[in-house]
Formats: sequence, structure tokens, C-alpha cells
Amino acid sequence: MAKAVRRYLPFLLVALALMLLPWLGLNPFYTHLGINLGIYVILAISMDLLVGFSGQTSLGHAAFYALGAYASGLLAVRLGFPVWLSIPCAAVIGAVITGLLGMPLMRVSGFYLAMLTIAFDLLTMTLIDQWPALTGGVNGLYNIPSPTMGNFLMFGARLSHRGYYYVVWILAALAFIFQRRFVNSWVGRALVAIEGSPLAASAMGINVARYRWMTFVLSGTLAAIAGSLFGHNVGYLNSEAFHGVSNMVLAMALVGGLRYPAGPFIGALIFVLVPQWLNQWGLGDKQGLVYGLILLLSLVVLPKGLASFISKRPQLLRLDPADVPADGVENLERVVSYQHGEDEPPVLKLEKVSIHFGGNVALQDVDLEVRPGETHALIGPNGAGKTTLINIISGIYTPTSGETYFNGERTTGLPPHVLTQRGMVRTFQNLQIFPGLTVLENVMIGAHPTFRHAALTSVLPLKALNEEEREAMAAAREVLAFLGLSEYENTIATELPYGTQKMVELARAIVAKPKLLLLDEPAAGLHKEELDRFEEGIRKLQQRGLTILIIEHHLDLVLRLADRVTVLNYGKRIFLGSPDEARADEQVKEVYIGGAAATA
Amino acid sequence: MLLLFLILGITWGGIYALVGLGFNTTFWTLRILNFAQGEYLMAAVLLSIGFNRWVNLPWPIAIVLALAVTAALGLVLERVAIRPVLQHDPRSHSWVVTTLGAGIVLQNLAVLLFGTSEYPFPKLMEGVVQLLDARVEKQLLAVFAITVVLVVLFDIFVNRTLMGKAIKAVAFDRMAAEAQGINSRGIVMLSMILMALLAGIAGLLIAPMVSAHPYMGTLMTVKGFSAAVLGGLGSPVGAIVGGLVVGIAEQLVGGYINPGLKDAIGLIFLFVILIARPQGLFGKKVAERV
Amino acid sequence: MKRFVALFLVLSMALLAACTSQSGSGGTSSQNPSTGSQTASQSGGSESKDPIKIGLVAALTGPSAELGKGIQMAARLAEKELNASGGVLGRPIQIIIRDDQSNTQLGLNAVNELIQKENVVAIIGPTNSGVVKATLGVTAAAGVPHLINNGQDTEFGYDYPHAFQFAMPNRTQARMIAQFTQETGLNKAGLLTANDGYGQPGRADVLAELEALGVQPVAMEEFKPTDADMTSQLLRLKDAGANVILFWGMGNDAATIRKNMATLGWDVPLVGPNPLVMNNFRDLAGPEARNTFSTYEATFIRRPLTPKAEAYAKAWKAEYPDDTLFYGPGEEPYFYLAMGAQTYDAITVLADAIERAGTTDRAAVLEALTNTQGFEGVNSVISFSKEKRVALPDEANILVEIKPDGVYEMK
Repeated sequence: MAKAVRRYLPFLLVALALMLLPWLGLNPFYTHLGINLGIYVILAISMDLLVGFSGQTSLGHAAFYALGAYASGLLAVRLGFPVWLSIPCAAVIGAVITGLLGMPLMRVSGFYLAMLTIAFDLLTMTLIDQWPALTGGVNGLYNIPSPTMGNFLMFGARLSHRGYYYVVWILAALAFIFQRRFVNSWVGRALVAIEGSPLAASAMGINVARYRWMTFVLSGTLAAIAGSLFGHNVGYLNSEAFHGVSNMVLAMALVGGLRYPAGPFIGALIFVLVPQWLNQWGLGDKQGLVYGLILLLSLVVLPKGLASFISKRPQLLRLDPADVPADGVENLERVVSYQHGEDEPPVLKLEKVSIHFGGNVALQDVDLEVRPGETHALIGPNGAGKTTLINIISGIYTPTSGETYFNGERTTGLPPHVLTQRGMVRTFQNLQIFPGLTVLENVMIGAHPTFRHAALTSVLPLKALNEEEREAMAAAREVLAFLGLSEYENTIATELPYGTQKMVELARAIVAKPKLLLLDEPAAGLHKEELDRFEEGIRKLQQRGLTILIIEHHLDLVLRLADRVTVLNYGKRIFLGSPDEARADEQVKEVYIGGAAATA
Repeated sequence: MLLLFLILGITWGGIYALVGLGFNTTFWTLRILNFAQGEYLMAAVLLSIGFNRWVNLPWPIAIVLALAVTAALGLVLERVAIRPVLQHDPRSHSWVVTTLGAGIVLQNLAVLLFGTSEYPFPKLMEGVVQLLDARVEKQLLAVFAITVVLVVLFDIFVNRTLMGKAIKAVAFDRMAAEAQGINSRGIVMLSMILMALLAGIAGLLIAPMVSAHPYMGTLMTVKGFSAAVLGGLGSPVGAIVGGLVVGIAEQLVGGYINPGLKDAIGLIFLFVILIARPQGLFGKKVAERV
Repeated sequence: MKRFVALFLVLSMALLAACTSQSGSGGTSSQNPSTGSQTASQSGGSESKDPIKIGLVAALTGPSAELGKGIQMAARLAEKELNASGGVLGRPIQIIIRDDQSNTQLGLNAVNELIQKENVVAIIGPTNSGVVKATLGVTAAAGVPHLINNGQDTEFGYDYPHAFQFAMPNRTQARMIAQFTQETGLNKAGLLTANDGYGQPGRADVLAELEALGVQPVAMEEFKPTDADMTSQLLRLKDAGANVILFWGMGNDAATIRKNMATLGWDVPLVGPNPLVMNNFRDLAGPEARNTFSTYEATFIRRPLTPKAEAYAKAWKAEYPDDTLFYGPGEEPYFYLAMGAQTYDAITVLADAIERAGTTDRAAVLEALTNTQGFEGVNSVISFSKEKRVALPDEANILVEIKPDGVYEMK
């Protein structure tokens, strides 16, 4: 209880101060600034969600803001909608438009989305000017119900600025709570994973396109809500109101500090207060210059934003790890435990898989079968096609011909996140640790497939969600303890030595409770001590019945661990058999003597 | 009338292409877009006017000096606004904000120095020629000719000279280029200078037609951006085709449909291409960072 | 988290500072700390020597900065003169100036701030009519007298009981422009107007006045302000057989039009409203600044000057000896002084009304303003009524011809 108080006290204090603000008997202009601040906070939260978490950038948020403002304003002015209806309608319209807009671009680099939002912004502004029949054109839209004009009615009551202040701040508080709950969960971790590496994120079972789209839509919706509040505040709209807003929103989020709970508040405060200060100091005509200097310099001086001064690194965990014990370390009971029967089908089966890149045949008619519970080694000299094969198995590439089966089901062409959700989990040859996150957070992203609730439910106070989170955290802590990584739990993973990071990647894969573990050169770069620990870990996993497919250049190690070996050369399988047979095989020897340099 | 529209369209399109090429040079070397581009265009024009009016330099010297200062401002931009944020996090999008901020600062400095009045700018040549049924200003034809020469020079520079090839190498893979002994720092500087010069020359070419003032660059940023993205970022041919498409479409829409939609048509093209083919007409797809 | 609270408190204090301590941009600053949340009833009868605050919103930067500059100079001149002669109700006048950069939203912000935070008696401005239109609702809701020093929309002087117009209304200018077609016999009129908040109401007025004269325009075209090339619109007008262009927009756009016309080898008169007299038209059009006609206040064009106008010009020269933009380069005052005089007149009329009301109560001031009769201003003798609150009578405006070297009354 005391802990909860300590955690929420700052927010309660801030909320209390905000609630009292209009009653301090001060200048009414105060309330007016407070309204602007609330609207900016919603905008900054909306941008923070997009840029800070999913790593997408919108350079045209003004368009969504304008859409919300015009939607609500037009519904109220032209159709006489009451504001309690027109504001939610604006939110829905914002959601639909961002939804349609985002759909085509979620599978390509986020760069194009940024470009599209610029174009959409400019086009929206042109449309506002050139469609006077709808929008009032350059003459603007008048008579929007507004406390400034004294005609803002809500449920029959005429609201003053003071009343409107509360309408705005209740919505701002809801937006804040929504965003924090949304991101302090598996959803937030998934988004940050996407931001770090979309490829690795999809290998964690995260549906990258859908998460990106969802965040984009939520962000656009929040901006539309802010817009509707803005329109009802000023009572008059034209396209000029939205000039420069796109840049300002992005700047607020960045200057405030991405991902920090206080970031949007600080960013919004800066952009509300600075113009006031300038007016007060008689520098009103230097506003543009100061604004430009803020944009130009603040990110150079404070790359992480102002909030980084006063807040600790924002966590992406819903529970305190100290409350979640890592029990059952030795037996890994919670995570990996398989009993395999005799008559089970092969876990993985490839039939005549070929892949061409342009004119080059990288793999030709490769067959592969991984049996339940076995450790299967895939070896061969550099350029033999091992990693290409792993990429086909894990769904990153679609084979030109041939079929893949996983657990008896045909999986050819399925995307990586679906395969991961079905239990096929991989590590990467090149480290794919998510930057800026702690070891524990990194490993918990691996547990993504164990979260079964819809992403949007993360904002709800459901017991089941806490249970899932507790379960995943316990599993993560257990795996970390199992691999001897407990001491690094709260260290930023990318700051660890290379070998330790490799082990973190292994932990992240195990915590997903894989049915098949694909290891792509897991031991590369490990020193002796780490190699021993790695081998010991794999052995324990084997004992618990885990099925493993491993690519590795340490031939001794891999032949010690493997039950069976497949050897590739020039995209073809040249050998299949036990490690002992492999050591004796003439063809294999020849390949390895020929390519000895690669394996040395 | 069609002929006149085509001539106008090609000439303006050429200007858009120059600004678009400027977008490309920084995109190659730094993977960023310089949103202060239009302000470089403006800076070259107003500085020329300043050198001419206040220092009493003859126009050719004033213009050369102004271009030199603009190029230097390009280097300053890289040092102040781009390098620090990319050093902190190469993947961050902070450069959007910092380059925009730099543009706003430049614009406001221009207001402080030059006020908001509009200055006339001398034409290269006076007079009008009759081409079939169209009367065309000689200035317009001169602008067109200079644009063509610049584009050809740019092509020769990028494809035929060692420095140009170095730029392409850095664009392709910076690490590999550095491994081969290319001074990528120098190449980045070179790209900033090129960006500033392309923008500046575009500005000097249009100044007699639009008159010079601190806000003249904003619209050109949009046009150059449309040209570059429509054609495909990273592709010089794309920027030229994109610029011409936008320029000609504007004139035809303005002339035959509705002048109010002139600026919209380029945006509509831009919007459609980004949805249907995000990499643009001639661009290569930027793969997911793996 | 403690630091979070600390920061919040610091920022709250900053917000407090921003809201409570008050000062204008450059005015005297003896302050009344207790403006509080009560509204406009600074009592006039009290012994208080606090300044009477008047809010002025002007385009000090941005595309209309030339106008804004003249307005600011005129306002400071009026403030100085009023205070030198003992102020109003025995209290000094303080004009608090805010820049709106010709942007509607900044204008709205400024008006809200001036009313709520500075508790001004009246609002003067903003400069651009589109911005004025957006802010009229705010002043109306707050019951603040609104003196429109530069906005020209016809409705301003008629439709808003709290608004007073000191610039020449569009309708009057439109009538003179329409009559030009009759007087010259050039009645194949082609309209070419800006599609912005200035051009669109102007176009409506010109159309109405043409209709009253029974003239049907041969073609109507619009342009986007700062469009670099108007050839396509001009070709359409030319093809329609227009022999005069009725223009509504700003001087820089008119310059583009004149230059494009020269290229096309098409030379017909261009007639438009008073922004055409601004320097930028002649600067930009150069030798093509010809065959162009506009309306303007007669104040500093006709000779002899009225005594009031002469005094104003003298005072201006004394206050701003280096100014050549508004006063003109020579010894003789220039036509352009009339623009600032609109603001000067607005402030002096307001001061007069406050004096007559005997209080700074907004409602009383509004009533006194409405009852203004025969006040001698610089540009005209000003009388308002409940039906019409327009400072400039029609005859204060004349048609002028613009030539590369200046502005001349059209004979």
C-alpha cells in the first residue's frame, strides 16, 4: 500500500494542483492557458505513443488535429450535434481516416509513413481552403459552440472557461492513463521492440504490421480528440490554425522527452509558456526566432528531452520484479518441459526447398527433418546457405519452391510472427538485442506469445492481465537465473559484453516456451567460460526435452551437442547422419578441408 | 496556349527538380532530408540583394559571394543541427525537428535583416520572344537553359568524376566506403555544399519572377520535396522527372481546370504515389532496417 | 519522483509568474496587482492613477508587417500625445501591443490574452480583415468595444453593434471600382481576385456593385496569394474579351499580374482597392507599375491639408524624423500617412469616449463611442450611430492612378 502511494503520489499531487488551478482566484487568463496546456498534453501524448514507442514518425499530425477540429465543429454547426456527441464522433472519424491512411504502409519502412503524413497534411490544408462549401474555406468556420463565444452547452448547461477547463483536463487525464497503461504492458514492450528492430520483433511473435497500425490509429485518434477540443475552445477555425502544428507536436514530444510519463506535460508546458514569457518581456516579435532556436538546439543539447533530467528511465514493466520471485530455477519447470512419445510427427520438415535470389540459386532441393526432442546441427562452410535456410524455416524468406511443415502442419510462406506464436523461436547470427531496454525487459519481450489478450485490453484493470504479466516475469527471472544472468536483470542489455548479450538472446528465446529452438551461431564470439556455460545450458534444455536446430561454427561443440547432423554445401545437402558418421565422412572432410579457413 | 503552358510547366518543373536534387544529395550521404532547403534558396537570393544594395557590389560578384555564404551555411547546418543528433542516435528522427528549426531561424534572421518587404530582382535578360502562338519571356528561356546545363553538370559530376563516385559509394554503404579509404566526413560536407548550391541557384533563377522576401522558400521546399519523393528519393532521374511532372501538371490544371487547384495537383500525385508505390517512380525500396 | 514534483512546482510558479505579473511590450509599467478575476469595472471615479489599458493587435511581423509597423508608430504617437496632455480621466493611457503575424489563431490568442489577462478597455485591430472577422465573436462575447483600424469588410461597420470601422469599407471602394467601368466606357470587366479572406468578400462587393450598374463581368478568375505566375488566369480573361481588370488583393500579387501582362503583350487598366498604393506594388512591378488605379483616402493627397491633418503630419515628422516610408521621402507629407491616421483616429476617438463616459466600464465606453458625433479626426469628421459605425464617409475616398514614381489623384 505504501509503495502504491509512493508510486502514484506525484501524479496525485499534479492532478490536485491542476484541479485547483481555476479556483486560486487568479487571473482568468490562467484558465485559458490551462485549457491550451491540456490540449497540447493530449497532442504530445499522441505523438509520444507513435514516435516514442512504435518508432514511427508522423510529420503531419496537424492533419489529424484539423480533422478532429473540423469534424466536431461541422457536426455541431451544420447538423446541430450536441458537443458530448460531436467530440466522440470526431474521435471516430479520426480513427477511420488514420486507419485507412495507415493500412497500405505498415509493411514498409516507417520512413514512407513519415513522407505520407507530410503529403496528407498539405493536402488536408489545401482541401480546407478549396472546399468552402463544406469547410467555409479561407473565410473559416464560425459559430462553433465555444466557451470563448459563450455558447458552449453541455447537457443543457452553459459552460464557462472554467467548466471547459475540466472537460479538457478530464480527457487529458484519460489520455494519460490510457497511454501509460497501454505501454506499461506487453504491448508497450512489443512496440519498443518494433522500434528497436522490426525483424527481431517479428521473430518474437509480434505482428509488426498490426501493432504499428494500431498505434498509428490510436495516435491519430488522440490527435483528433485534441483537435475537437481546440475547435470548441476557439470557436473559429481556418487552415491557418494548423500551420506549423505538425512540427510543434513532434517538437513537444521530443523536447519533453520520449517515453517518460512527465515528457508530454513538460513539452506542452514549454510550448504554452514560452510565447507568454516572450510577450511579457516585450519580445513578442521574436517569437518565431525563439521557436526556431528551441527546435534547433534543444535536441542537440538534450537529446533525451527535458524529462530525462528529473525522471528515471521509464520502465516498461507493470509489476515490480522484487514482488515476483524466481523460483524453480534449477528445473526450469515453468518454461520448458516436454515429454515426447515415439509416434510423434517430426517437429520440422522441409521438402525439396529451393530459393533463388535473382539468378542465383542459394538453396536447391534441400530436405530436412527435425525429430521431437532431438538436437539437430546444421553445418557447412561459409556461403553454404545455412542462414538462408534458417530464414526460410523461420518465415523471413518464402522459398521459391518446396514446402515447409511445422508440427505436421504446412507452414510454407507464413510470416515469422505466426510461426513464433506456434512455437518456433529463433536467435540471430547478428545480435538483435533491443537497444535501450534492460535485460529483464528484453527477455520479457521474448514472452510475447504467452500473452493471449487483445492488445487494447491492456488498458483495462483486469486481474487476468496482472496474472499473465506475473507469470511472464517469473518465467523470465527463472530463465535468467538458470543461465546465470540474474545479476544483470536491471542493466541496459546493449551495455553488456558481447558474449553476455548472446546469452540474453538465448534467454529471450527460451522464455517464449519454444517447441523448436532455432539457434543461428549462438556461440560465436563467446570466450571459454561463456562457452562452457552455454554448453551446460543447452544440455539442461535437452534433458527437458526441448527440440533444437543449431547452426554453429564451433564444430567440436556442435558435434558434442547434436544428435544428428545435416551438412550443406553450395546450397545442397551433402550429408545427413550422426556426429560420428559426419566426422568420418569423406565428402564432409573434403568440404571442411577445402573451406578450413572458414571454420578455424 | 498549350505550348505556353508546356513551356511554363517545364521551366518551373526544372526549378522544382533542382530543389529536389538538393533533397537527394543529403539523403544519399546522411539518410536525412533537409527541411530547411527552401530557406537556403531564400538565403542565396536575399544575401545577393544585400551585397548588392548595402555593400554596393556588382551583381555577378554579389551573387557568387552570396552562394559562397549559402554553401558555408550548409556546412554550419550539418555541424549544428544534424551531426550532433545523428551521433547521439543514428536512427532517431530528431533531424526532422532540428532542420526545421534551422529553417525557421534562418527565416527569422532574414526578417530581422531584410524586413518583410519584397525586393525586386534583376532579370538575366529583358524582352519577349514569339514562339508559334506563345509569347515567352526571354528570362524564362534562360532559366530553362541554365537548369538543363545544371542538371547535365550534376549528372557528369555524380557519374563521371571521382568525387561523385565517392558520393555514390557513401550512399550505397558508408562503412564499406570508409573501409576503401573514402573520407566520408568530407563527402558529407560536399553533399551539404551541393544541397546549398542547388537550392541557392534555384532561388536566384526564380527570384526575378516571384520577387524576393524571407518567406519565398517555404513553398519551394514543398515543391522540391514533392519532386524528389514522387520521382523516388535517391534517384536523380527521379527528381528531374518528378519535378517536370509536377510543373507541367500544375500549369495544365491551372490553365484548363482551376487555378486554385494548382498547388493541390502535385500533392495529389505525391499522395497517390506514396500509397501505391512508396519508393517513388524511380526509387529503390528502403528495406526494413535489419 | 521527488524531482518530478519539484519540477512541476517550479513550472507552476513559472506559469503563475507568466499570468500575474503584467506588462505590455514596452509600455510604462506601474502595475495594478489586483486585476483579479473580476471583470471590466475599473472604476473611473476613483483616485487611481493606474493606466487605462487599451489592447492593440497588429501584424508586426509576417506578410503585412509594413502596415503593422505604421500602425504601431501611429499608436505610440497617439499614446504619447494623450499622456502629454494629461491622459484620460486623469490617468495615463497604456497601449499594449501584440503581434499576430497576420495569423488568425495568433490574433485570437492575442485578443483573448488582452481581454482576460490585461483586462483592456477596448481592442483595436487586428490588421488583416480575416483575422478581424475571427476575433469579433470574442470581443462581442466579452462586451469589449472593438475598433477596427484597418479591416475593410463592409459588414464590420454595420453588423456588429460593438465594432467601429476606421478603414474605408470594401463596399465603398467596390462602388468606385465598378463606376470606373462606366466613367471610362471600359465595361467588359474581367474579375481577378485573391481566394483569401481579403479577396473573397471584396469580390462579392464588386459583383454587387457591378450588378447595381447593370454590368455583367465577362469573366471571373481567382488566384492564390503569392502565386508566382498568373498567366493562365490572364489568358482566360483575355480570351473572354476583357478590356479592364477589376482586381481585389494585395500589391505583390498585382505586381505579378502587371508583369505577366507585359509578357503577354496585353495592356488594359487594372483597378483595385487601396493596398495597391503600398510601396511593394511599385517596387516589384518597376516600370510595369502603370495603367493601374486604386482608391485611397484623400487626406494627404489633396491640398490644402485640413488643420488636423497638417498637425498630424507635423507631429509625425517630429516623432519619427527618419521615416520615409509613411511620411514620404520629401518635405511634403505623403498619401501613405493616412493609413496610420486610421489607428490614430481610433485611439483618439476612444479616449474621447472614455472621457465622456467618465468611466472605463466597457459598456459605458461602448455607449459613449456609439454616440460619437462630429469628432474631428485626421482622416475625417467622425460620427457614429446605432445603424452605422463607419468613420470614413464615402467622400473621404478618391480614385488614384499609380505610376512608377508615385500616386496621383485621377482626373
